[in-house]
Amino acid sequence: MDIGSVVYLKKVFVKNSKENIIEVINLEVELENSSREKILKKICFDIKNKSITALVGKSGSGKSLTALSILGLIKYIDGLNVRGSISFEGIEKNILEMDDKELKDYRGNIASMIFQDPFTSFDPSKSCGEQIIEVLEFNRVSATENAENFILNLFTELGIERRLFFYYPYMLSGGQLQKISILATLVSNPRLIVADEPTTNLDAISKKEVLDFLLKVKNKYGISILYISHDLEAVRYISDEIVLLEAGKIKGSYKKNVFFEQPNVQNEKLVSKRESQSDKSIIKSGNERKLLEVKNLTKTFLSRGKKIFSQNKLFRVLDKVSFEVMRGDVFGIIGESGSGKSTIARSILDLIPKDSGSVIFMGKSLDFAKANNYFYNDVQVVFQNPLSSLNPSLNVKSLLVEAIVANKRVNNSIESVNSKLKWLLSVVDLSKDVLSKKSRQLSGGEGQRVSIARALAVSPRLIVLDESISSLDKKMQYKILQLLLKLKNELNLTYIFITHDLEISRYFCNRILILQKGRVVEQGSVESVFVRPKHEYTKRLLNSILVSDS
Amino acid sequence: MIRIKYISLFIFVFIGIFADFIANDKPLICKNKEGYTFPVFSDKYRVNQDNKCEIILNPIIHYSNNSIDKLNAGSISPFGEQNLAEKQQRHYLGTDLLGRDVLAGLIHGTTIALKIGFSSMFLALILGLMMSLYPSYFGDFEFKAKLSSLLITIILLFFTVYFLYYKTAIISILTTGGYNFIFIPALFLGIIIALWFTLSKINIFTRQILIPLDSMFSTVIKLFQSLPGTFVVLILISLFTKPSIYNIIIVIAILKWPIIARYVRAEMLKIKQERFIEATKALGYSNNYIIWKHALPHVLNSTIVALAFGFAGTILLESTLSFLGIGIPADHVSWGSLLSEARHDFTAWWLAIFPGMAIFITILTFNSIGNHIRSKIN
Repeated sequence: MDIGSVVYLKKVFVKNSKENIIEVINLEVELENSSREKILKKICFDIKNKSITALVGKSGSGKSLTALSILGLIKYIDGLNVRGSISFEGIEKNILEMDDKELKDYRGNIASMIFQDPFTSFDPSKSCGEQIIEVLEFNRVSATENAENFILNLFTELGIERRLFFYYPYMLSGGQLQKISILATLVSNPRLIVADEPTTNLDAISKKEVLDFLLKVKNKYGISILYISHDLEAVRYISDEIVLLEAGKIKGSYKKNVFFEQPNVQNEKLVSKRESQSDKSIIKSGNERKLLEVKNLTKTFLSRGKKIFSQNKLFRVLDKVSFEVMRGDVFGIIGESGSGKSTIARSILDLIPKDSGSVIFMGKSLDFAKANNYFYNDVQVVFQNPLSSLNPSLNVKSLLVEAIVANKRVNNSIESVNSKLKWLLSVVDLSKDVLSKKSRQLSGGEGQRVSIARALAVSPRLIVLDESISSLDKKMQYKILQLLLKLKNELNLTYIFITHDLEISRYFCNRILILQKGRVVEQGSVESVFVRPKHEYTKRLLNSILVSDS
Repeated sequence: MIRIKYISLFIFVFIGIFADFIANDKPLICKNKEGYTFPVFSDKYRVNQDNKCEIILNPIIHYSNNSIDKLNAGSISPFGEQNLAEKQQRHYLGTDLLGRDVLAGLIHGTTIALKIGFSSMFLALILGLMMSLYPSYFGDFEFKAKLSSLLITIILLFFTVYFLYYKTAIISILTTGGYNFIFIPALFLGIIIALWFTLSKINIFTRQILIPLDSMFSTVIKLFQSLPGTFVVLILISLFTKPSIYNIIIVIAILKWPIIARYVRAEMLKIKQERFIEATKALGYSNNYIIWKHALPHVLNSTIVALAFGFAGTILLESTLSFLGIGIPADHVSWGSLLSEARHDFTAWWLAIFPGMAIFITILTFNSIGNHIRSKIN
């Protein structure tokens, strides 16, 4: 069923459709204030008909402004001078020069947009279905009686469960809601969808689902999609054409294959196969003695009832989790957000009380190990975001000195503290002028290096890396991973590496554990899990790694 | 605009501190045979007595807050005719019924406002921190104590309240004569220490018990906040036999600490979720260290806002009390007591307008400073 046949308003399709649906010519945006800073500098590019064009660039390169100008929304932003022209196939007028009424028609029926966070673009007090019907009514598309049936048909057609129609936005996951927001744009029968970072906030599995959904939409209805992202993996998976934007300038537009064969793009990729092979051999030489043993770890949280009179419920975050970490291991704990990964980390460090189960460190149970005061010198943690894990009101020096003094094994004289400080800086490749800075003044990579230095200050045996590199960009991730590997070999460290990123864990870990909703689904060596996954969930997780067919 | 409020804060503090040098009936510097003297600092100097010294420097205003000018008694208007020996001795803002200078009263009232404002807010801050810093850090599920120490604490608390309530009991112990004043407290202490030792040996009493500190203390805070303020003040003040500034300070602090405590609690609940608290804990540092070194600076940072607003409220409350005549003792003067003079004579507008303006400007200043700090922090 073609939605065009059900929906009234058939647009006058130009029969000999040109190749390009959108042509952006010399688009220029500058600030209206005295600085006259140019945000977009004479941009020219095309969006091909019935294809997915990806607009790639770092944050601040002008991606979103480009998207807004294509939709004509840039008119409503104050303080900007816009020049140039954007022409849509079949429309005579320049989009940038349209008046309000024409723009409303244009956005309602020809082009629409999907935003990054679906939870903010939906009204939480109405069900999903109602809101889609609203879109339909707004565009005067069809009679309201059939609207519900029509949308339900669309649900089945695109393979979304029909019951989601009656659900409220908060009941759905990010991925499901993003799919519904894509569907909501479809009811007005657009010819172009602008998707502004639609998968950035999603976990691996739902990201794959949303990308597949977009592909399906494109293939089924022949809609062109402008996909804006900085995620090269997703771009590689979905797009046909790639436009690279850097600091307001077009660096070039490429076919997909051409783009990913460029040498500088290759560098940014984390896993180049040769390297991962050689590094693994080093990791493998782990000593077979147990360092840490976790037995039947269970933790429940009290979740408050959402309604006024509903009772509090116990919510089980960890359900009998057991694993062992050997000396010299890099032990990966993998799971989606909310699966209890961080709770494991904090239970190991005894930062939160556990309900039952035991953690045995170097043959002693945790209470016993803590009693001799050296426990926190043996086990350390590096958290995800350096901004929040470093006290913003203290400078780096006092943070590091605080950590060095915490080492109870050695006597801390002023000289020894100073020499240790120097050693720490040299070990994590930081220069001396970092010492006087506060955490807000550090870049992400520097901040994470300071966090690592703080963990190393007490000369630990085990470091728990709780999503330590997730908030960094790919290049920095690679550098930090190299640093961690180097440190591991020099200082005989053991890592517990908590992540949601499968590729990194494949590269970095030698044994992994996969966690789903607080239960251990599968654990074993990296090869056995990645090559021969036994559990259904593991297979799904592995499928979500974006491997493009070409 | 930002500058104006800080300038007026500076003027307020300056006048408050140097009131004695600005408005006084004693000269600042005198010269006699022995050399220079400073009568401002001495109580012996009397006005209108034949002093043998030569006045070198007089204060700007020639009157103190309670110096009575009999010639100009009966509410003389600032613009009216005044009986003056010298031109400089003019009552710029008029006089009240007894002939006291209004301007001198305002200047000395600033000192009282400053004193009461700062010290009662300081007391309220300490009380608020005591009642909320530790409870909010530990929350409901993290503070565990041995049953034995819990019992001892309860017994001690009971005795404290008992002896405070029956003041005479303490006095009778201490005044029975002989060495009783050493012997009886020592016996008491001994009993408690013995109790402690025996209890900590018995298995049942060494059990760890979870104490919901946060719920307990926040209930107390809520309880204090739901008391009707003015009513409580009237009752508390009637408990004191003699009026004094310190009573007022204590009463206001008792009334104001729950606001501070709630601010501290809210801020602590936010701060303790931060990762850097956990990271410090993971370095092996104690909770005490974390609270004082890492949490308290952040907590105090945002409590300053509450202090600024509380300061304004304090001044208003003190004025209200003084206006009702139950505030500060009669030999002091505050803006509120000046205002109450206006009740005797409705035509004397200067008795109402000037103290009213002083109160108004000060409160406006502190409220806008509070707003400014709040917008800076967020």
